[in-house]
Amino acid sequence: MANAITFREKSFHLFTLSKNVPYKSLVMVNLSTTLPPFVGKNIKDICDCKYINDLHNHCAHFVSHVMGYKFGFKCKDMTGKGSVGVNIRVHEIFNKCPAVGEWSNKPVGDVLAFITGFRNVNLLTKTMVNVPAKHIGICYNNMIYHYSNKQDKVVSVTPEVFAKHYNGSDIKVFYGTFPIA
Amino acid sequence: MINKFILLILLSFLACTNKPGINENALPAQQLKVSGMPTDKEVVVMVMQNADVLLSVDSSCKGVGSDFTDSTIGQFLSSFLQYYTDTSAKNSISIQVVKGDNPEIKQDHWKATFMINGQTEGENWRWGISFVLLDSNHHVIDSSFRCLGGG
Repeated sequence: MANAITFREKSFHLFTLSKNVPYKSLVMVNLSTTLPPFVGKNIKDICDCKYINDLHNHCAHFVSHVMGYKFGFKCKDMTGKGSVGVNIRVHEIFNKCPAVGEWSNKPVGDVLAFITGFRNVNLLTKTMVNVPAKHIGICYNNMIYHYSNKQDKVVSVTPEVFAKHYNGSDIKVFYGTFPIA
Repeated sequence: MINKFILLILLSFLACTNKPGINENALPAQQLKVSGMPTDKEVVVMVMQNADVLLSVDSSCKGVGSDFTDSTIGQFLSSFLQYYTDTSAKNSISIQVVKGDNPEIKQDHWKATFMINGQTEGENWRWGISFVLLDSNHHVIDSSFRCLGGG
């Protein structure tokens, strides 16, 4: 850990990353206090833009409310209500990650977790296409917090359970370092 | 992939054949109104007629296709319509037309929303488009296209 890059500031989340992954992102969110209380909550308890229909997909929506991702297409663009709104698209968040890769190459520390077919991702260009079978969560302290669209609430699971979110031999888990909000 | 290709061909074909001056007999005129609130069927026709609108029309459409090379509204919609070949899934299309309120458009207009709703492994998804058409002649404003949906 002597060569690790560590950032710590008041109210910032702590990052300790592998020396193999140059990484200078800072996240203005204290995940240790912010994230766990979301477990069990429905999107109606999270979104002030009233984009709360359980028939819609809220995985990226949840992540963006936690992390404050206000880039790209937002919940407010769907409803016209609320304040600023946050991003609701998995592929747009993936495309904003400073570094992405296969989960087996994940740096030490907390990251975003993505799962989809490997053909839907181009790691060289750090881009993901828009397909139905794609999902996102926040890996914090070795647990992945994500919005279960089947249970209509936030859950936390191990990376091993998250890796089984979709069936299929082409399904892979990818990491993404946190975009700047 | 084949199904997606067929859908794209169909959308492109309809887009060409329904343009005035190319094949005006493709749809009998009496089936379509030329003013007033459009019917669901008329909205579907407008969607098909505008399949060739480029995704660069608006930032909401950036990267919404299921292939890195997708560049049109037709390819975007086909990206999701192709999953309707799974007849075991709960699929539907929803269409909504509301009175438009864009102050920049100096005449009565309508805002149409066309959404493709589906399920993958028990998870719901909804993707689609909205666009504006004039009340007086049902002219669709190309630049009004927006790509909707999340997940």
